[in-house]
Amino acid sequence: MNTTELGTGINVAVTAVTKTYETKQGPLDALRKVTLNLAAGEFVAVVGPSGCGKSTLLRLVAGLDRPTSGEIRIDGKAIDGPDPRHGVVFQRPALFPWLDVLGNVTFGPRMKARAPNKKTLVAEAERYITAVGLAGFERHKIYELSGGMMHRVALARVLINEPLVLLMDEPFGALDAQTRLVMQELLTEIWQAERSTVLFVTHDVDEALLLSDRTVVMTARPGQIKEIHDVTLPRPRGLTTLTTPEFASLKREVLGSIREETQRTMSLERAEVRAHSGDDR
Amino acid sequence: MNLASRCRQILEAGPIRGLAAAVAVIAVWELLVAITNQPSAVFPPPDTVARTLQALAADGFSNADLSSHIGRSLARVALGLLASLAVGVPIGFLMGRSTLLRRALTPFITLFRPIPPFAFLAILIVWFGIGETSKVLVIFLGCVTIVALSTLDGVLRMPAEYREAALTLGANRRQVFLRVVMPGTLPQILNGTRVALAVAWTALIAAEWVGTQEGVGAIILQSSKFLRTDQALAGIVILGIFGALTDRLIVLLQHVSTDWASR
Amino acid sequence: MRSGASYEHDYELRDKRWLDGRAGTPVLMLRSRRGRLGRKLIHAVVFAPVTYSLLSLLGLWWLVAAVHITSTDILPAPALVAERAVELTHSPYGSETLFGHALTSIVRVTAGFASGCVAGIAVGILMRYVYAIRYFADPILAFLRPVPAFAFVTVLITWFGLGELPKVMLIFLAVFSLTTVFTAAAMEALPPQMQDAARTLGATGWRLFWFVQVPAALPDVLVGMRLTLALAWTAVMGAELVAADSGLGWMVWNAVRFGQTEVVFVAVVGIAVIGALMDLLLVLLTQALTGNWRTHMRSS
Repeated sequence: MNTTELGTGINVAVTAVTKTYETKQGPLDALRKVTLNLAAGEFVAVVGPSGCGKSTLLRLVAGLDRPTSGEIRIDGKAIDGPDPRHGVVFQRPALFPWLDVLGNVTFGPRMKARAPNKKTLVAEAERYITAVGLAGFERHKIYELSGGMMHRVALARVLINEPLVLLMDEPFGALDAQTRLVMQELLTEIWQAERSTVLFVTHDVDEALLLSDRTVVMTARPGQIKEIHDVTLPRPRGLTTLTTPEFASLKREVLGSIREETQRTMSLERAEVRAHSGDDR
Repeated sequence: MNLASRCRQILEAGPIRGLAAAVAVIAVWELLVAITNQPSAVFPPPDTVARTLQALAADGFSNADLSSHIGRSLARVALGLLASLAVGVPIGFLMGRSTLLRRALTPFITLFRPIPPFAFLAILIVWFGIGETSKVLVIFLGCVTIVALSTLDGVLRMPAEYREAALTLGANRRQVFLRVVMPGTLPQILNGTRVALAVAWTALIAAEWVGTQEGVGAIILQSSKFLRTDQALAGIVILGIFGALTDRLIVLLQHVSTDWASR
Repeated sequence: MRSGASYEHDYELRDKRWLDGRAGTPVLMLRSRRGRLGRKLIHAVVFAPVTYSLLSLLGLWWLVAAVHITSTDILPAPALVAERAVELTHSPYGSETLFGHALTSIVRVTAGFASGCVAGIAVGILMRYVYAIRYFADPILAFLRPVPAFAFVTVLITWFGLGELPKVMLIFLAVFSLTTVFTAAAMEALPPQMQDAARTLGATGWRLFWFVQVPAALPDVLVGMRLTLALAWTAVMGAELVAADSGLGWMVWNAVRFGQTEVVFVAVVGIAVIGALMDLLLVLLTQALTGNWRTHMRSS
């Protein structure tokens, strides 16, 4: 693995992690023996069929849930709950609707034991709001924003904490294709400037290949790592990358591998729904 | 803009609609008086009630000003409602936090919620007599379950992402409660308060029915006893005005503090 | 502007109950489930957490009464109340036995509740479709909502005498205005795209109303009915306080007047139990009609 690359990010080590949920039908493995290492400053995308546990993996790394077995270390330290230096961007922007844009962006710093004074706080927030292209919208209410703008605020709200690791759970899944493309460019720009380590969960293969250094394909439930693809496409990547033959062949490979898993997931789901409605009668 | 849509715009304005509705009610009332042809003591026309209202405002009722009657009633409602908020909101939060407590308390609340305030009142009178204690307590008991349940509803209804986002942004448990759970549940708490207010007015009238000389409920009851239907109706109008005013007050509070919730 | 729509839990979940494909006609659904209603009722009573809370409440009551903190006049022991209740089932209290009073109250509540619901739902639906009705009804309802129906009791007696009519009308009044508000709100709650979807699939006129509007509004209306049922019980106690010589409410007030504490408890417990049973019936009806949409909404 390439650990010589310099960055402000830190490495993430997921070792033999299993997550089991207790359900009415008995224990259910969402993840089984997952091992994955992210080098400092590396951008890793995780793709897989829905319900394969990719979001579970992200929640475990974020410290929102605990693994049933195995361990996760960030910068060598076992994680112990959520940490503002491990920023999380959710699928829904999850902005606080009772605060305005500025209030949302300054939320993180205001949670510190010794919150910075208001002037530096606002100046700091200004910087990130400008970075995501929302200068002038500081006093706007959340419900006045468009979907794309909300995701920009969500990004700024995490970035102001200067995260060493960015964990993103299908952050652009709800956006239209054009807005998503612009957000992907914005994210790449920010990542290249900050060089934090990124774990990016998505179901969009194009997105994974366009953004990541490595793309991880997960299996149907119980989620295991099926393959890891090195994405060696030259940076900076953009619209033109999407039409290169290298991209196309990589995409064919990854899509084929996901397809098998999706079919397995679907037959799994059919069996479950049948069993469940049988219970009901 | 053409004339028709212009007219329509004026007609749609809130105060105009209120006025139109009031005129319609008075017209129907007059019509009913004319059709039924009952003596004024039984079915007084609107203008008689208006005059009675004027007289009540000028001369008061049974040795007390109208304002002191209204003040008494408002004080009882406010005291009972505030007490139910002070008790119900923390209970709702605690139930939202602990599954055990939620499982333990929900059945009791479901059991108590549909019991009419009158039933409480009867037992309260047996226990505390017919003084102020019973009156405020009956309002409190009628409201507290509603407030607790709506607070709980607010906590449970809040998307989990809010709490999780706050945690990952560096908030501790106390901060999550103060900065996320509290503002996030305020809309439901205010909704519950609004429902509770209607119950509070019902409970108040029930409480004032039993052995009191002061309050709007007493005016309605005493008037009916002496077949002063006009005065009883005037009492109901007063009740309606203050009921609607207090209701508007809460709606205003909702608009000011939780404008984001209505979007 | 609905850019924040994805945030609204309720809105999103509301759509979900449509996804499970059970949005058939309500009437048909009731028929297919009728056989299970009785068994469900027994199951619900026996295993309800309410049963446990009742038992623990009874235990607490027994304990407080047993240690004699208070006199029997204030808090009679449960056994004493039960004894009195059994006695009242065969020897009349006032004009009737306990069962007679209970039946009288149940009939009054049912008559007032049913008529109030029918009228309220009708006006609520009309408000959705007839602009003139909506125009006048909105402000009138806003004014009436916080006014307790009970305030009208003496006026109703002056107008309609001492028979059953003013009592039922009082209950009707208590139920009607709130049911109208609920129904009107429930009719508005149908997401526009759902209505559009139905129309593009060929639903028009009464079909659009019966197969889309009605099932969409039903859960909210039924929840509102649970609230108004409690109001109906409040109203019947009020009506029976002022002018009656029968009914559980009359029992309560007569017993308060003569200091018969056990009888107060017998009647209050009776009201609570019957009220809870009717509430349960309504919950079961809700489940039968809406196929657990609501619980699905919560759990997902």
